[in-house]
Amino acid sequence: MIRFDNVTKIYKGETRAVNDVSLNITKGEFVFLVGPSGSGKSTMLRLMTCEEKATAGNIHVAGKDLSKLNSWRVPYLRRNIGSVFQDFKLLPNKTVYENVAFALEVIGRPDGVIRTQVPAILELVGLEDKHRRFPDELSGGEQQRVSVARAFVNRPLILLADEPTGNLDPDTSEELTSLLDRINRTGTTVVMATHDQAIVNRMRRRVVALRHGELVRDEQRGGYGGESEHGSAPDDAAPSDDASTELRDAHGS
Amino acid sequence: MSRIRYFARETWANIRRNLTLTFAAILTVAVGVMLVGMGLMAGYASGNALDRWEGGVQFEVFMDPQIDPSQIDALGLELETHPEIDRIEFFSSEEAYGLVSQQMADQPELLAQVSPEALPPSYRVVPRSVEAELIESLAAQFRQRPGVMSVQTGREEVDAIRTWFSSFQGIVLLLSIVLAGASVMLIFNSIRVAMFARRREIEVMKLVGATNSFIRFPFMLEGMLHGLIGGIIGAIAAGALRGHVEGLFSRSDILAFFRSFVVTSDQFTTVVIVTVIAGVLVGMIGSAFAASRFLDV
Repeated sequence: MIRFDNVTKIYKGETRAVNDVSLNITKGEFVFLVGPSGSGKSTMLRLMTCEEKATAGNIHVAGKDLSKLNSWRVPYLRRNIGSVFQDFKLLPNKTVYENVAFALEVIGRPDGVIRTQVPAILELVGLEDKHRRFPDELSGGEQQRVSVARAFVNRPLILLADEPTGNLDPDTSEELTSLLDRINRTGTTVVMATHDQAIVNRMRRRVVALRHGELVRDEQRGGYGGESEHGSAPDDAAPSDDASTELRDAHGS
Repeated sequence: MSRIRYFARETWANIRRNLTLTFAAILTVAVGVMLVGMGLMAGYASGNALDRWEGGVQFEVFMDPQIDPSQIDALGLELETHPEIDRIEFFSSEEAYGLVSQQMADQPELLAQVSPEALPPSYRVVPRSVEAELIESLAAQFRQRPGVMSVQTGREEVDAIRTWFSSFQGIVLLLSIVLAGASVMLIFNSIRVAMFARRREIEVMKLVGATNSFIRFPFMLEGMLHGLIGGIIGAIAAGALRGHVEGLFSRSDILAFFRSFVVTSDQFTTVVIVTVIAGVLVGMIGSAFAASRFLDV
């Protein structure tokens, strides 16, 4: 579903945000992207949605080679990808219903589809009785659920979440993650970039760890694993022997 | 259906949000296209007038001042009875001197060099028809008569008027180009402000996979609407101007000369079409420029 082959991204000829990363995510997987701030998690997600172009290497998303994708095809790629952000990105002057409907409206879906899909998705995220509220009348957790509803209303193949629990308290974060988990169980590939150790450790899903733009660990049923990377990986960011071993192990299992 | 409703709603919201800048843009377009209309109408009016006067509506036959008064009378009779000539007016040497002294009232030293006897007596001849060829042939006919010093048709005056009108048109055209530039920039800015006001929506639209053309369309529509409204106002203003000027010409005796400077209604229709299209074009250019500058994937 998502494949990175030796991908490097250099911003403005200076910072190496992603350095020679290879990664394969298959359909229906739930993947945590972990690592400290500036490790390249967000850049990875932006590369997947074509908001950024890779400096080197190849990226395939939903069967498309992004380096060969015409810019006018990019919107059609994005219709297969739902995105959720730390700051929700809801439109303050639209109600919950309108915010979700907007996502269908602007890709030209007919009225009938909008009228059936929006209530269905609001029910899925548990906000059917708040569809007339405005975002500022909702709690953070509810707002984030609206943004998940908006990302998922078009039934995309892939859902990308960039620190979706960053502004939420632990209980709400847990709820949101279980919502993403339910969405994952419908067959949607979910990639979630996060700092949230508790959630990563509890879910026991595939964990891809980045550090200084390099992939340092890829475990099928991993934890946040703060101790190994934070402790031993050298700051100059060449992949350590430990990490290479972990990588081999991960592929073997 | 949902698309049409979406575009209508978004365009209207943009215009309302941004009223002062919208107003400025529309007014600039209106004044600009009104000038385009003025230039066109001036061209039409002078063309219409000059077509009729190509050879001048009248001509003057200057006699040799030395000749016998009876010869002058004989020529006068011939002119008066000519079937193609409507009426004539005689100016003696003294009357010519009177006119000259009026014209040179503030240059007495020049006037002192002119004596009444040296000035040629003349007939001012008004033909029945204003066709240029007829006037030219009449003028040529009388140029051959004995005692005639020269015959002057209005050709030079007509040429002078044409020159004046074309330079007027040039100035108006230049001004309208300047205003068209200003209109494009104002619409560009008003669309940019509209985009800035809606940057969150645009961000979300890009995120969920709205195409560029879909995102741009309401803004293009808004710019075109600015241009269209400005164009219509400009056309109305040009129409009012036409009515006012023609009324002025027909009422005033001093401006009676300009009476034949009229724009036909067919020509005015062309003026309206051109001004409205110019307005829409300016709107499209301004908004397309803004859309391509500020709305990339």
